[in-house]
Amino acid sequence: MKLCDHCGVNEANIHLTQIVKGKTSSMHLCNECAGKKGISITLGSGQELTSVQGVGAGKDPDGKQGREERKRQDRACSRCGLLLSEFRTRGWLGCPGCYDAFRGEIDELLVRVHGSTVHKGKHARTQGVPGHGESDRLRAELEQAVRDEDFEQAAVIRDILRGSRSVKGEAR
Amino acid sequence: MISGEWKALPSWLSNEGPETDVVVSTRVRLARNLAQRSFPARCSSPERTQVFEDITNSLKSSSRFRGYEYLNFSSLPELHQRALVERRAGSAELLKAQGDRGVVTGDRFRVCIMINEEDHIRIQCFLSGCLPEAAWGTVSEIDDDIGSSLEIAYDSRRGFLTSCATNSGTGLRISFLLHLPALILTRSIDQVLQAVTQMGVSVRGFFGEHSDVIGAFFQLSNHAAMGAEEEQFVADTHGTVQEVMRLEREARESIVNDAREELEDKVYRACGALRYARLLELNECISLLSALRLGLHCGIVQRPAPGRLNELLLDCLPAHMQMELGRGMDDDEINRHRAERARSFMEEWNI
Repeated sequence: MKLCDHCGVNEANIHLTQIVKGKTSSMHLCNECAGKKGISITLGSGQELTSVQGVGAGKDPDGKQGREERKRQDRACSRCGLLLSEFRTRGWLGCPGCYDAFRGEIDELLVRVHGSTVHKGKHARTQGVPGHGESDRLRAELEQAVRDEDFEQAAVIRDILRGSRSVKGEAR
Repeated sequence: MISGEWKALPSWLSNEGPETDVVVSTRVRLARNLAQRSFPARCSSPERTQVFEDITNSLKSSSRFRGYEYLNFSSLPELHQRALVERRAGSAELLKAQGDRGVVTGDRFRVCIMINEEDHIRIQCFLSGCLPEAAWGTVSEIDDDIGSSLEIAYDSRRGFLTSCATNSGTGLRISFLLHLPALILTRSIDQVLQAVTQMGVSVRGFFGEHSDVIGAFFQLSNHAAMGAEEEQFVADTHGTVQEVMRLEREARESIVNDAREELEDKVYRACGALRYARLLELNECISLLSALRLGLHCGIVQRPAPGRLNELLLDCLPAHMQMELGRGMDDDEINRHRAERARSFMEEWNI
């Protein structure tokens, strides 16, 4: 068992190789210390490293400069205030609004876990007949799906808008 | 306080369902959240209370939940909370959570709806044996019921929105509690579980997430929950479980045919320990009951009724032992009482 380079107490389960100015250096960290250093890990199986909030690479990430840089890069959900860094460290979201706030990050995670970012199961009953606001949102999503050439998703949204896709529970 | 029903054997442990020689039980859960609220971990205490009230009021307004018990963990003694977790009505996360949270349960724990666990609502149905479609049908109907009176967090693209993004989409998990002692004895379990994992099925231990494998009990469940319809996830996981069942039965047959003496030795040693041990630790007790269960299904012993074996297993869990005696106990005392309980059971069945 290799111990964490930072605290020297916990088992190191994140193994990071950094290339700074052409020089390679290795770091072995436990989850807690990795979180403190602003190193984000994926939330899927295993602890695979995907990105380093590495603007402070080569500098002390715990220093004032590193903290400010992280703060600048961080984003917050406008509804509940959850920070992207909190989501990355803890793995849970704060509210339904976080799904829009961290859309890119969540999609990346969903593809890894489910192999898909598109829901094909039953619909919420309250969403069975879209209201005005919901219709506008769905139309915008439909346009986006067509732009993305995600025709499968576009067909799902089209059906919801037409009202031909009923709530399963009602159909039975 | 928990009413008298807590003492009744949960229906999913009755052993009355199909395929119970291998599949102890089937569980389906759906994760749901209220659209206008933060997820539980980010709720303030008053907000959590409001969520708890909104959900319980919604359930109480439906005739489906008449006669159900509404258990708020914040006003239950810790021992009662732990006993509910041992019955799978609650979860370790529910124990750890703060404030108003709990479980609405009925029909001898067939339906258990957790409130303010990781998500606002976790609808669960537990059935004895292998009954995935029936369990899915029950939770889906309850979901429709709840969705008709509460606005649920939902997005047409991502489906149902959950506290942990990996549960979003259908919010569905179907899991089967399997007893696979013969695959362990024939040393083919690793290979089987590896294949199962490659087919998109996750494997967990006896007590679910993050728990160890004890007594050859495994929980198999779907890994993905987005990108297909619920029925597809149910059917795919069921298909994999059926294949594992077939392999376990084949392994049992080959042990009976080729190594009957060793099997008899294992089963009768377990009988001996259960009848004469004076101190029994939990893991040892579950392993012994596992061997006895295997002996029953392989025709080595004819008693007790398998459902009664499940009952003994439940009674031997720590919170249940303490509930029975009405007081807290240290580990030594629990081990002593567990051995006494097992001994009187074996005497009763004359094994």
